[in-house]
Amino acid sequence: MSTLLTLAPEFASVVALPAADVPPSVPRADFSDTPIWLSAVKALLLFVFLLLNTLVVIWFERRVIGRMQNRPGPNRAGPFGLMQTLFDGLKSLFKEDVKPAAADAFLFTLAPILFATMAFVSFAIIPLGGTVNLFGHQTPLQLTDLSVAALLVLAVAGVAAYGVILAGWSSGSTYPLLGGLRSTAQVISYEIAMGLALVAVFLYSGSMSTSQIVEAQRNLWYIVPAFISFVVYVITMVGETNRIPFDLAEGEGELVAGYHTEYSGFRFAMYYLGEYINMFTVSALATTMFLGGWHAPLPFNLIGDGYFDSGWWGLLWFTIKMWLFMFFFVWLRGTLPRTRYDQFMAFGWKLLIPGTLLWVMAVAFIRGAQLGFLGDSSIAIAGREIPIATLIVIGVLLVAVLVVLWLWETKMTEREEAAAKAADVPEEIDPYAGGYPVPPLPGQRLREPSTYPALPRAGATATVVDTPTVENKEA
Amino acid sequence: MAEEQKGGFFSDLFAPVAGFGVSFATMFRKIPTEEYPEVKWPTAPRYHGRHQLNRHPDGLEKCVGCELCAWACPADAIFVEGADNDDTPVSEGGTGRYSPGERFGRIYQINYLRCIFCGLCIEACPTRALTMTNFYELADDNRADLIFTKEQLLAPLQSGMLAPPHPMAEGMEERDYYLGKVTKATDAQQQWSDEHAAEYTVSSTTTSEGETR
Amino acid sequence: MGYGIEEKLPSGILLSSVEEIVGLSHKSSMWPVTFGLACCAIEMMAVGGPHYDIARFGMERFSASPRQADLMIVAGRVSQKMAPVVRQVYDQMANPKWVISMGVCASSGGMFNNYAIVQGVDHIIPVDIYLPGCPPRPEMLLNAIVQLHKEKVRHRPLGANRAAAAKRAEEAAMAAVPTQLQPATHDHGGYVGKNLLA
Repeated sequence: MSTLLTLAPEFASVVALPAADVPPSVPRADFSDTPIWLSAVKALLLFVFLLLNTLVVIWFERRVIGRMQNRPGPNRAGPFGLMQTLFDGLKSLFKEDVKPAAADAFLFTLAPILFATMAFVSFAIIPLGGTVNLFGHQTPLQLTDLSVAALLVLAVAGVAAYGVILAGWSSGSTYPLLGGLRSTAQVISYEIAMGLALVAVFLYSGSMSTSQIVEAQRNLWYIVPAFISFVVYVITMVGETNRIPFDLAEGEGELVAGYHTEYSGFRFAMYYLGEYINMFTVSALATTMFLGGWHAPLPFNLIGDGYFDSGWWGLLWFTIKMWLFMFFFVWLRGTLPRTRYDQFMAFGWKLLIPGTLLWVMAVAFIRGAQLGFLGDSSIAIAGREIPIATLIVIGVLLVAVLVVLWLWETKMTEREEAAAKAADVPEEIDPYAGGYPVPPLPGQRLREPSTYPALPRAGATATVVDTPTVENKEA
Repeated sequence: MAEEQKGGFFSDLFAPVAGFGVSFATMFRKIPTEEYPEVKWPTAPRYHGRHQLNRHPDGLEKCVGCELCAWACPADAIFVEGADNDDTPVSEGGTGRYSPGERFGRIYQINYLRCIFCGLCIEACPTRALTMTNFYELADDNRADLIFTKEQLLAPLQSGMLAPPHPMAEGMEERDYYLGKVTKATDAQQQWSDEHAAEYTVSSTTTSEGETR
Repeated sequence: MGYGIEEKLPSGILLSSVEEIVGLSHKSSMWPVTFGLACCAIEMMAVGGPHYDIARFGMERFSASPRQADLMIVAGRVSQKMAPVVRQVYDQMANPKWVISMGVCASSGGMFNNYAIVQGVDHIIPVDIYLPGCPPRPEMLLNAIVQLHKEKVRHRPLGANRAAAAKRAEEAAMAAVPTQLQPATHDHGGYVGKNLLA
């Protein structure tokens, strides 16, 4: 109900989006003045940037969760406990690196390396800022850009799943194997919905290059026209990174610690690191796809002819937006418990994937109408030219949503009535009616058995008669 | 289901995510944490902490070695061995006086790795010799050090007290100690103690033999 | 598998400073393995709550996998049937590792002096800190943790120093006399006790 209600303003904003606002082709990032050595420097800086962010975010997470649970969190290692992550890492370094006898030596070592390095790779295509002057060269704050950059992130996430499944298999132990399978199933299932959620963005921007997508959001962030996609993406990114409430791969109660049960010391630290870098990656992608990337938020992009909306300032806005997502991750962890595995899978396959498919179709129609594929006639509303086809498509969609809503409500009411009927408890109960002793529900009276020893009653089976039932008399 | 209270439109709308509000709001609440090693909050006055063997106001021990505490102990954590005591000093063939009673607790040990701090020993003690303090920092790195002996358990000498052995205050009987008629060590006791000081620095170690059970 | 380069340093200033850093990092980030056995576990959980908050020591990450744990808090009575499990979990922990025996039942069997309970978990695994109490209040556990940091973790000898320490311990063990012949562990010289009311 609540999700559907929030749709209304969203549709209105789509109506207000004139076709001319999104040019068919926005410029890609220009790498013509970027020598190879500068790319290497940028890669190094990116690596340092991510490591520093990880150092801070683990401390940040533990402190914020502490505050959410009304306790201070780590505050004894260094000022404000800031050294906590560093000491965690050092300790892992100094710890014995256990390799189980049954483990496959090569894959056991390869898996964490694969996981940690793949986590870093996706960041290569994320635009962190505008074009800046770096060592005398005009170069964008982005390591590289591809015409299919967004797909690279999904592909790399797929490869990282190998790090998980190989860890589970090569440990030579049961729990890691189960945890690895679970985690891989989860990552792959949610990647489908994630990819579909991004399709709406591709449709709006007409490109898969991250720099073009960011540039296309200069006037309107895609969180507005593709709000449903944004919601789906945020849900799937939590599933993708194995975080609470979707950290089923590490369910302590059933799987000890999931795929990294057998890992200790530095190999474990690499999983720890990779997990947090993955969080940054999905957050950065969400920023790039839906929150306008490195573009300044509303009041700042109007100041000084876009002075705050270019160059190094972009890095600031990008970092702030990315950290908002990190805070959201922490907030989730501080609020929600773990979901059940079957519910989690049912949610992904039965709701997210078909729902997103329908949404992508709807976006395709809206987009087609905007670009004039469904007729050229337009109408002026409040001074803006809006194609009639767009209005018709949106009208049809609204009607469809209302119909679905009505059907759903009817079904839910029926179900509630049925449940209420089922919950009606009869006043009397025959404890042996089904052949097994049944205790009375609250407010129920036991029917006194007529004679002793028990005689066959309606519905009672022969076995009950054979055994003398003293309990019957007592009841 | 039926008892669920019906909220307004907005409370229904945000009910599924109300938990987020709770965790967010909690971030700005005052933290009630006790920063333990630096800040130590006092326990409840009745907290069952480490034991203490009390003294009479003139320094004589209240423990009469009756072993009732040891018998009451459900965990067998207390070991007491009583011995006779009289006013005659060791040099004259007696034992010296440690408690106003006929006997005193010659050996008194509590094994803190057995003790469950239930307080049954305190209830059993007929002379209020054994009580519990609020002291709780007892962790140690070996088992032997956690068997506390009489010397560790005895209350420190307060002003006006005199380390036993020394005779009872002159003109007093055992019952007078419990009637509160003795308020501090008298000059005669002090004098006796000074006279026999050399003798009892030696004997005080003999009283605690058999420490290593 | 095994130890890293810090184990191969010659003894001297360098090794001492490495020991310092290693000790500091172990002290600041000591992950306990979840091993609650009985009522003491409830107090152990209370230490994680806002009133005491074990997270201040960087210890809130109770590790489900013993491989990633540094500290085993044996919280509660160890039955004969549980003993092999305790030992196995201890063996699965990666070095260096420490053990706190929390509560009297784990330390000595406590009031359960019977056939079903192991009379002290030190019959099975080496214990670093014994903690009395039944169960110990959360502050007592924090006190035990602070003691452990101070005595065992902070200045743990490494490499050549550890070999020397092990040799000393071995020699001491060879020269040791039976318990009943050992001198008393406490100062029994006088009747002056600690001032408990201070």
